[in-house]
Amino acid sequence: GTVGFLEGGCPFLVTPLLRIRWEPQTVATINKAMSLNGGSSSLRTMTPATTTDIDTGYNLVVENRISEYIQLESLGFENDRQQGIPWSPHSPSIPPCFLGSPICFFGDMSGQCGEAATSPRRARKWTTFIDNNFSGHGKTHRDAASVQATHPIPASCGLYYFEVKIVSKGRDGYMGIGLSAQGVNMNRLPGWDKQSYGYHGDDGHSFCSSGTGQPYGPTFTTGDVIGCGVNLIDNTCFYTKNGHNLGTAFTDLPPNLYPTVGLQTPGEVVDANFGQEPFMFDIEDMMKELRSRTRLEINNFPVPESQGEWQAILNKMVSTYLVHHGYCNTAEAFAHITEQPFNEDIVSIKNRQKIIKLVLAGRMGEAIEKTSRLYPGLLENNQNLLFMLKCRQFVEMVNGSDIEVCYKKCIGGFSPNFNTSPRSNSPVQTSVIQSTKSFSNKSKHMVDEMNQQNVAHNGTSCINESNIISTEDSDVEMDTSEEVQNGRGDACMNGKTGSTNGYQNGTSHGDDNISTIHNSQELICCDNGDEDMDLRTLRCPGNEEANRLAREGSVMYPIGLKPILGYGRIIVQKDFSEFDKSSEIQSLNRSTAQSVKCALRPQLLLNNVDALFAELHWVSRAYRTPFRIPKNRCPQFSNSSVFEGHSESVRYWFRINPSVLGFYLGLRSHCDGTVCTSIMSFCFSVSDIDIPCRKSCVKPAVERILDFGRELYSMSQRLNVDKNSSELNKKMLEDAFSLLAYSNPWSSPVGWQLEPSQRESICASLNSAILESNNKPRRPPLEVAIAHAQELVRLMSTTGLGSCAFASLIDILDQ
Amino acid sequence: MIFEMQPFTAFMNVESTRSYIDELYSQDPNKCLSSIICIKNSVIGSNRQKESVIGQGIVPRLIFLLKSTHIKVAVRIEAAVTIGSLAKGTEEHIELLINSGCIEILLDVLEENEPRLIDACLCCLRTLSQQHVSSSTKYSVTHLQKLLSFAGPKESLQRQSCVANILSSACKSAAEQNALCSVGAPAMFASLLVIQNYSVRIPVVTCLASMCWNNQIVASEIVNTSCRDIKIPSYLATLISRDRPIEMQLEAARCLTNLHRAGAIPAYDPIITYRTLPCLVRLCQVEHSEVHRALAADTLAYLTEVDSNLQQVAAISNQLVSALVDLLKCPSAAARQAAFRAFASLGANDEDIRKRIIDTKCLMDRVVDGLCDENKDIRLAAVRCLHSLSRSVQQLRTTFQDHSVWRPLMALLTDSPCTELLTAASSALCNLLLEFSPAKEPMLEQGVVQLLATLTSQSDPSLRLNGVWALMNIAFQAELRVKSQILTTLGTDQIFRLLADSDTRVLMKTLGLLRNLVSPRTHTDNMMALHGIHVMQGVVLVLEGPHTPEVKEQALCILGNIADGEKARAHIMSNEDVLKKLIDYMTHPAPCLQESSVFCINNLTRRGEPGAIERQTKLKDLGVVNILQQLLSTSDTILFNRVKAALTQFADV
Repeated sequence: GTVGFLEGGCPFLVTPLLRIRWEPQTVATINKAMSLNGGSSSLRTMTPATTTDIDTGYNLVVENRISEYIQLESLGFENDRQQGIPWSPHSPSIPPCFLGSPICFFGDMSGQCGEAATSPRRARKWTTFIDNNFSGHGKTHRDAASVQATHPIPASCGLYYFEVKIVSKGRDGYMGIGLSAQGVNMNRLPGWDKQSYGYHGDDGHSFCSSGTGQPYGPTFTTGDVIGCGVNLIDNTCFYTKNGHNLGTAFTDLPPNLYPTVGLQTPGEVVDANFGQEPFMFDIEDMMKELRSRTRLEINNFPVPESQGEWQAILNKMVSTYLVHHGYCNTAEAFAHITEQPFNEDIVSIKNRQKIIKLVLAGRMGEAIEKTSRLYPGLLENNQNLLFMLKCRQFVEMVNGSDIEVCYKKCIGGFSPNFNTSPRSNSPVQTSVIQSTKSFSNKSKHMVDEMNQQNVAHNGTSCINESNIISTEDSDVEMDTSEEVQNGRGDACMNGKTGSTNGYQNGTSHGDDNISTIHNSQELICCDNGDEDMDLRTLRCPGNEEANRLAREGSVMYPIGLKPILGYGRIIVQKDFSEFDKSSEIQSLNRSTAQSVKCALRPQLLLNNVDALFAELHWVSRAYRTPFRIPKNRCPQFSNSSVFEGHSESVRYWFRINPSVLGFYLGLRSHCDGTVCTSIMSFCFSVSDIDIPCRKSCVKPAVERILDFGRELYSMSQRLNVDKNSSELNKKMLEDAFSLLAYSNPWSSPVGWQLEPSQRESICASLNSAILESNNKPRRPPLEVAIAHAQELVRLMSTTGLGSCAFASLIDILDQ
Repeated sequence: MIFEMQPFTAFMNVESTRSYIDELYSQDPNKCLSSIICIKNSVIGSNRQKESVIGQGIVPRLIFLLKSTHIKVAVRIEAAVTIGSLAKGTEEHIELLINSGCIEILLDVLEENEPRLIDACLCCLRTLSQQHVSSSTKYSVTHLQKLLSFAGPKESLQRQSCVANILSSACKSAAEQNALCSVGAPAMFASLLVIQNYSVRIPVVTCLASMCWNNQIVASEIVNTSCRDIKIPSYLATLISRDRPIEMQLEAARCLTNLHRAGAIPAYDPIITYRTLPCLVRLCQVEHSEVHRALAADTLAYLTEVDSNLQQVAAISNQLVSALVDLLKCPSAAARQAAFRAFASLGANDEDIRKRIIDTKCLMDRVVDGLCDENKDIRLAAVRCLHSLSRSVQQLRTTFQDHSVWRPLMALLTDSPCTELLTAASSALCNLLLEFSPAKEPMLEQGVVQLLATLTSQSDPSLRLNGVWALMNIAFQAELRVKSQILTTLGTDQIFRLLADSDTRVLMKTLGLLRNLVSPRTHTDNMMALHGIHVMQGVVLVLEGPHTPEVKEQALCILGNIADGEKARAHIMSNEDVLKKLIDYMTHPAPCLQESSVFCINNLTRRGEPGAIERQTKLKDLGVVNILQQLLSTSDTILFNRVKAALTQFADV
C-alpha cells in the first residue's frame, strides 16, 4: 500500500476514500451520474477543492484513480454491461491496496502477523457508494454490488472488528455487511454465495452462503452503526448494532475472509470505520476476555502424566539456568531445597561469574583480559567474539565505563600485564572525559568554586604562553608520575599547571582537557609551526564575548560532551588560553550541532566523493568560523577534486579537528555500508592523521579511543573473510564509531549502544562461548524452551490460529 | 491413656465420641481444649457427625465456653471455630445455633481485644449469615460500627471479606440499609473496592447491592461516594469487564441494576445501557453455568422491568430470547423462574418484542406448563410472563387461543393461591377478558364472573381492582344476560361497598363497570328497569362523596348514558335531587364536570324523542337554558360545542 511517514517516523497507511459506482450503460450516463452526485455529501471527496475536509491529500490520489477508472470503464467495458460492479479490488485495472488492508489490531502482536504487523491501528475509511440512476433497475438482486477489502483478515489478529455507518439507506435499504472469501462474485450482496456471509438491513436476517436468510437481528437503516466482529479463535462472527452485540451470526468460518459491504439500491451510502475513529461497540472489553481466556487455557493445560516427571524436569531446568548464568549460590540453594544433587564445577561458575560481572560493569578490557587468562585460546580461536568484545570496549570507552588499559600489544594479542585501575572496584566508572568530578572531589574543590575562580581569572588576567609551556612541562612530569591513571590527568598535575586558568570549570572536563591539550599543542606545533601566533591574534577580538558568556554562567555539559569538544578545546586552549574554554566550547558545540544537522544529506554526500569533499569543506567552514582560521591556511577544495587527491588537506582537517572524522563516521546510519567503510578506511589509512604521541602510555583519553578505533578497524579488516560475520562485524563497528559523531552520544540516535542493558547480549555470547568451549550447552534448557515456545507462537500465527494474538509469552512469564 | 490414641480413630466412630465429649465439661482447660479440637476435627465435612455432636447437646457448652471471658483464649477460639463448622451443616443445625443466641454472643465477643478470637468469631458470623435461614437478628448501630471497623483498609483480607459477607446479609429492610449507610459503610466499601482481591471485592459489591436495593437515599449516597477520586459506579464499571470472574461481573451488574432501579443512575447512562445490560445478557448465554445464568436473567428482568428502551436493547442483544428459552429448559426452578421473569420484563411494553418472544418455538407451551408447575414461584413467574404477553391484542386472538391459556389460568385462580399469584393471575385475566378476546366466552361459561366477584371482596386493594377491572372488561359491549349476571352475582351491596372503596382506582373501575352496564343505548332501558334504583343510588353516592372531579366525571358520564335511554331517563327526570346536582355541576369550576353535565342535559333534551318537550320545559324552568347561555362565553371549545348542541335542543321551547 501507499505508506506515508508521519514526522515521528511511524508508518501509517493512507486513508483512502473509495467510491464505487455502478455504471451500467454509456459514457453519457457516467457523466450524468457524476453530475447527479455533485450535490451529494459523499461527493465531497470527488472534487479536489473539498478534499481538505476529509483528510489528507491522499484522497486526491483516490479520486484520480476513480477518474481513470471511469474512463476505462466507459471505454473498455462498454459492451459488457452485465458485469455489474466493474470496480472491485480484484479488477485488474485497479492497483492493489487501493482499499488497503483494513486491519485494525488489538493487543500486542509484534512479529506475529507478518506484513500486517506494520499496519497501523488507524486503518482506513472508505465510502462505498453505489449510484444507480436508472429507474427500474437497482431493485433486483442483479443490481447488487459489493466491495471487498484488499487484504484478508489475518488470523493472527485474534479478534477483528470493523463498523459501518449507514449514511443513507437509499431507496430500499438493501444493504449487506459481512465477509467473503477471495474470488466471490462481487455482483452480489455478501451472504448470498458460497464462502460469503452477510447481515442484511432490509430484513435483519443473516445470510450464511445462502440465498435465504435466517432471522438474526433487527433491521438497520439510516443513522445506524453496524459492526462486524470476527473471532478468529472460535472462527465465529458476530454483529453489533449501535454498540449492542447482536450475538453470534456465523460459526465455522473459513480462514482468510475479506471484510465486505454490499449495496443494492440507489442512494445507499455507508462509511466504514476500521478503527480510525472510536468504535461504538466496546471491543476492548471483548479483547480482555479473550486475553484472559487464552491465558487461563494455557495455565490450565493438562500436563500428561505419561510425559515424565514434570517437577523434576522443571527443577532441572531452573538449576541449569542458574548454573548457566553463574548464579552459583542460588543454584546451590535451589538444589538444596529441591533436593537435587548439585555436582557442578563451582570454580568454573565463579570464574564465569567474575567475567560476567566485569562485562556487566562495562569493564570490557578487564573482562577480555580475564577471559584470555582463565580460558586461554578461547578468544584467539574465536576472533569474531573477540571483535565483538572489543567493539563493546570501544563503546564502553566512550561511555566512560571501561578503564582503558594500556596494553602495548596490537589487537589480537593480549598482555596480561596491564595496569589495573585503583578505582576498578568502584561500581560506576566515570567517563574518561568526566573525571573532573572525581578530581574536584579529591581536591575538595567544588566545581562551582572553580567556576568562580575562572570567572575571576577571565576578568583579571591574561594568561600567556608560559601557561601552555608549563602545560607541556606538566605533561612530561605526568609521564613520569605514578599517579597518572588511565591517561587521566589528576589533581596534582592540574595544580602545577595552574588550574585557575579555567580548564576545570563547570564543563566537567578538567583534567581530561589538559591531557588533550598538550597533545594538540604538539600536533599543531609540529605541523603548523608558526601558525599559532596568527591564530591567536586573530582570536583576540572574540575574547570579550567569550568572557561575557563565561560570566553568564557556563552550562554544565552533560558528561556526553565528549571527544569532539575535547578536540574543539585543543585549539582554543592552544591558541587562546585566556579564553574561557567553556563558553568557547559552548558556541563551538552549538555550531557543531547545527552543522551536523544541516550537513546530513547523506545521499548527496555519499553518492560521489566530490560531494563528500564539498561537504567536508562545508563542515570545516562551520568549524572554522569560530576559530577564524586564516584564509591562506585554509585548504581550498575544488568541486571536481577527488578525495584521495586531497589527502593532504583532509589530513589537515582531521588533524585540526578530528571530530570531523567522527562526524563522518556518524553518517553511517544514513548511508550504505560500502561508502561508510570507504570513509573509514580512508580515514584510517591516512596514517598521519594519527596524532603523534610520544608517550603512548599517557595518551589522552580521546586519542586513545581513536587509537583503539584504529586497531579495531584493522582487526575488522583482518576478520573480513567470512561474509556473514564480516557484515555483522562491520555493522557493529559502524555503530560503535558513530558514537563519536555526536556531541552528546547518550542522546544520539546511536546512543542505545551506551545503555548498560546492551551489555547483556555481549555477556550472554561470552558466557555461551566459554560454556561451549567447556563442552557445555550454549544455551540453558530454560531459554531453549522459551525460544521454542516463542517459535511456536510465531508458527501459530502463520498457520492461522487466532489464539496466538493473545498468547503473549511475556505476559505468561510475568505472572 | 486411651484418650491419647483416640483423636485419629475417633472421627470414624460416632459411638466413641462420647468420651472426649465428656472432657468438654472438664474444668481443666487443657482437657477441655483437646476435647474441642477433637470435636472440631470430627465434624469437619460431615453432617452426620455434626448431627451426632449436636444431638449430644454440646452447643450450649460451646456457647458458654465462647462467652466465658475467664477461660483461656485458645479454648474460646476453638469453640468459635467449632460453632462455625457446625454452622456449615444442615438448615436445622443453623437454626438451632441461631436460636441458641449464637450471633449475639459472637457479636459481643467482637468487643473484646483478642485478634485471633475476633478472626474466629468473624468467620463464624460469616458462615451463619451466609445461610438462607432467615435470621431475625437485628444488628444494632454499635454492632454495625464495630463490624465495619474490622473492614478497615489495614485489616486482613479475611476480616474485610467476612465483614462484607456479614453485612450484606444484615441489610434487608430499609431501616437496616439506612443504618448501615449512616455508619459510613459506602465510604468504607469504596475503599475496599480498590483492593485487588475478589474474595473481598465480591462480597463488598454484594453488600452494596443489598444496601441500595429499593432504597433511593442509600443509592444516591453510594453513587456519590468515591475513593481516590473515583466514584463507586466507575469501579463497578471496571469490575463488570469481561475478563473478571463471572461472580464479580454478576455482582457488579446486580449492584448497578439496583442503583438504577433505586433511581440513582438513569437508564440512558452508558454504564447501564452499554455495560450492565450487555453484561447480564451475556451471562444469560448458554455457555455459562446454570446458576449464573439464572441469577443474570433474574437481574436482567429487574433491570428491564420498567424502561422500555432497555427492554428494546435487551431484546436485540446477543440472541437473548433464544438464550432465555434455553434457560427455560433448565431443570432448576430458579433458572425457569428467572427466564419467565425476564420474558415478562422484555415483553412488558413493546408489541414487537412480545411477538418475537411468542414466535419463539414452544414458548407458549412452556408458559402453560409453568402455570401448572408444582413450584409456586415458577407458577407466579409464568403468570407474570403470561400477563406481560397478554397485552398483545394479536396474541390474545391467536396464540393464547391456540393454547387455551385461560384453562390453567382459571385453574390457578380457583386453586385459592397466595395473594401475589392471585394478583398476577387476575391481571392476566383482565386482558384475557377483553371484548375481543376469544377466551372471554369459555371463561364466562366456566363461571369467571363469580370468581371475579369474590375477588372484589378481597382485602387486598390490587385484587379488588383487578376483579372490578375484569368485570368492567367483561361488561364492555357484552350481551344483556352477561350484564345481568354480573349485577346479580356481584350484588348491589357489593357495588355500594366498591363505590365506597378507599382505593380510588377501585372506585373508578366500578364506575366504569356501571357505565359499561348501562350502555349502549339498547341496553340502557333494560338495565335501568332492573337495577335503576341501585344505580341511581350509587351515582348519587359518588356525586355526594368527597371525590376528585375525575371520579365524579365518571358518575356524570353514567348519568349521561342513562339519559340516553328512552325509559331510563325517567330515573333522572323524576329525581329532583339528581337534576339539581346536574345543574350545579354545569357551573362547576372543573371543565370536565361541566362538559359531562352539559352532555347529560343534551341527552335528556334531545329533540324529536317522546317526551322531549316536557323534559325541556322542566329543565328550562330549572334555569338550564340561562346557564347554557352563560356558558356560551366559555373559551373551552369542547364545552362550547356541547353547550351549543344542547341549546339547539331547546329551540322548540
